[in-house]
Parts: sequence; C-alpha cells; structure tokens
Amino acid sequence: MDAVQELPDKELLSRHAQGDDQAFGELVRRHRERMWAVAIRVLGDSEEASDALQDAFLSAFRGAHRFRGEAQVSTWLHRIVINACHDRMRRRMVRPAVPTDDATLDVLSNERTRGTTPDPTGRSDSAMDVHAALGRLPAEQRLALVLVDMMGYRVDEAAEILEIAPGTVKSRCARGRARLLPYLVHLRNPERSRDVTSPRGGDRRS
Amino acid sequence: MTSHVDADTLALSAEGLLEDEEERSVQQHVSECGQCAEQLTELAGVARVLAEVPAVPLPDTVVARLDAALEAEAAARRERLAGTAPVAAPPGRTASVVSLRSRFTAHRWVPYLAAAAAAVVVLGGGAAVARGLMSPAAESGAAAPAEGPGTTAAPDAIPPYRPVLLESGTGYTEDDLAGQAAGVLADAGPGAADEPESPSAAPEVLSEGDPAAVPAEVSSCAQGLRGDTGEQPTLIDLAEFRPGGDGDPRQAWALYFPAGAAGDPESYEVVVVSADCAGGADAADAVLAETTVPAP
Repeated sequence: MDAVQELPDKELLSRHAQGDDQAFGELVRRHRERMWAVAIRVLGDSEEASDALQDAFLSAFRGAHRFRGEAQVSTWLHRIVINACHDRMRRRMVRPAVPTDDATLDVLSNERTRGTTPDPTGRSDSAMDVHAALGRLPAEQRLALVLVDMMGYRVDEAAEILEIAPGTVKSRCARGRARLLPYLVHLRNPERSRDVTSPRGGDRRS
Repeated sequence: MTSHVDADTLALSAEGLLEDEEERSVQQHVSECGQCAEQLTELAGVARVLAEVPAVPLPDTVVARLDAALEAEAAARRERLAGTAPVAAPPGRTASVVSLRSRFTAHRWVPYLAAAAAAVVVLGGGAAVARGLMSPAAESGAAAPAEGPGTTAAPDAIPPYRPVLLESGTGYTEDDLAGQAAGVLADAGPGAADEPESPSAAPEVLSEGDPAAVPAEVSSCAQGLRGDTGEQPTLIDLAEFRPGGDGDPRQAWALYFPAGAAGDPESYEVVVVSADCAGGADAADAVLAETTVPAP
C-alpha cells in the first residue's frame, strides 16, 4: 500500500473523496504554508488569515468530489483560499472605514501586532505600511498584486488562479501599483514627504 | 504632448498595455520630462517593495486550530459515511441533522461548480505552482515554521469546549425568546438537573461535550458571528423560528453564548439564526432574533 506521502495531489484528493481518512491531512500538510502565505498577504492580519485558511480547507474538504481534475490541485486550492479571503474582505468593508492619516496608521500597526505570535523575522514597520496601503486597493487589484508582485507567480499562473485573462492580471497590477505609489514611495526615498495626494485615475476597471 | 502622464497610464505603459499611438506619446513625454521619468522608476520600485515584504511564518497555533477543525470535520464525515447516528440521537432526528448539512453544502458550492465549469487551463502554469508547493520552505528562507515555546503558549488558555447539542422542539419567537431560552437552559443547559422539570417537554439531547458532533455549518455560522472573539456557543438547539409569533415555522438554530467567567457563566446571549446561515461574511444576515438571559 502506498504511503500517502508519496501520492500525487490529485490521487490524494480523489482518495479523500472516496472516504480515505488520511489523504486530506496530507494535502493540508503540503499546502498549508503556501495557502497561509496567500491569506496573510491578502488580509494583512493573522486572525483574519487564520479564519480564512480554516474556511478554505473546510470548503475543500467538503467539496473535494467536485474537483474535476482539469486544473492542478494547488490552483484549485488557491481559488478556494482567495474566495475565503474575499468573503473576509467583504465583511470588513461593512466595518468602520480604513484610517487614513499617519497617526491612525500607527494605531493600526499596534493593533495588528498585538495578539499575533512573536515574529522571528522581525516584521518591519514597512511591512505594516505595505499592508495598510494594500488595504486601500480594490480587492481585485490587491489579489493580483499579492500573487504577482508579492508571491512572485507568473502572470499566466495568476490568471489561471483568478480565472481572468493574463492581460487583465497585468492591468490590475499596473493600476494597483499606480495607486500604491504615493503610499509606498517613502519606503524607497525616506527623505521625500509621505504627504502625497492620492494618484489620479481612481477606479477605472480593467 | 505637454501635460504630465498620470501614474495609471505610466503603469499601464510599463506593462505594455497601451495602444501604439498612446504608447508613443507617453514615451515621447517621459523622454523629455524628468518628473514623469522619475515616477516611472518609482512604479518599478513599488513592485520591488511588495516583493521584499518579509514572509510571516504560519504560526503553530493556526496549525493546531486547523488540525482540530479538520479532525472534527473528518469525525462528522466518518459518522455520516458509516451511517451511524450521532451520540444518543434516534434515527429520525439524525435524518434532520443530515438534511441540514447536505442542503447547506449544496448551496455553498454553487459558485465553485460554476468556477470549475469556466476553468481555463494554462499549460505549464499550474505545474510550476505545484512544484513550488511541494517544497513550501523554498518559498522564502524565512518561511520555516516557528517552533519555539514562545509561539505555542496562547496568552489566554481556552478551557475545553464542551458544547451541548439538542433538539428542544421549541418554536422560537421574537417576543417570547427570553422566556423560551430560559426554559431550554433550565431543562438542558450545562449543569441542568438530570431530570427535566417538565418531562413532557424533555429536550432531545443529541450530544453532550463532543465538539465533533456539532454540524460544521453551525460551527462556521457561530464563528462568523463571533469570529472576532473566538466565543463558541455552549448550547446549540436545532429548532424552529416562527416569524411574528404565528408565521410559518422555519428551521433555525438557537446558539447560546455564555457571558461572564469561563465555566461559570452569569448569563447567556441567545442568538437565533436561520438554518441556512453561511459562515463568514454573511453570518450576521442570518440572525433572526437575539436576547440575553440569566444563567439558571
């Protein structure tokens, strides 16, 4: 009998769908780090990312029999995680608006630091700034930038995960970078003022 | 072209997404305008800043929580696949629990069905992602899971979760909710007497103290409602709700969240949610009525 550790993802998923008790756990072990990396970057908050990760893996557990096999299991899992993150973002949008001035950003940073596990990488202020800035983007731009710029996926990989055309991935990334410019420019040029007005262009959709 | 190029257009140009004519005029302007040329450089810097954000390792606490949730789900599935009833539940009651589950699952998965039908296969792309996944540690040198004593000790240790799952047969109404909830608590709540006060209305206790017996959609609904606090209902009543007191009853769950000291609640917040309550963002939409009652 094959050890589950040696089976390919698709085989694990189909064994799980047939009732195998060990297969899904192995899939989770293989993919949870990467799925966490997506969720924490999209949501910028450990609690939210943890919830999204759990929602996503439970959805995958229940929906395994609907996996058709055209895509890679990892692509399918990415979609589920991104959907779970999307749900969380929508929920957050009904909460009080994202703070905009630097004083509140500091508070935001403190809130995000509090209650999370100690971070051996010494998560920097600039990481906080990036997450606060990403929070200002429309969800579709944020997702594209997380996959392409932060995770380093190729445009065609991101396009398959997001189920949009590669050109759309590129334009969402471009518009997202343009929007982030005034918020992130100080990270490269500290001598410049952070107080830059919002970029033009607004919300033109791709 | 004399006016400056906005950041959006510069970014689209950098991705090669502009029409030929616009691209030419942008390049012409950038070649003559130091300000716009600098902005173009800064746009490339944005991508670099994003790429350099350090990875946050997956915390052990999250792994433990995920494992527990999936183990509970697996246990529920084992029961279902084996065709055995949940603890202490007669077959008729079991059927109603299972039907709740399957209805919910079908509803929840409609978007994914549509997604699967519309899936586009890009050859090679997914495979590269999969290769990366096989060796998660390769993603970043900093991505190794933290395994120190400092990361495992939760600041506030949570007492074991011992939910009571029951079918009281109550048709909850908005007006009488407090009285009805107090009655259910007295008969079946944690610490209730073994003998219910009114044997004729004895609640059907489906399970006691077994988190795995709680249907997953109930858990995810409760978590959607109280996700911020991590509070979990200690008593879950699979029941009905009568809108306006005498309307058509609909399937609903009454979730009893203890308030006050853990293990010794002073009161319960009772939230009645529709039985199609989805987890996450939409849980709040499913709330039909709520109240607070003192602990018996």
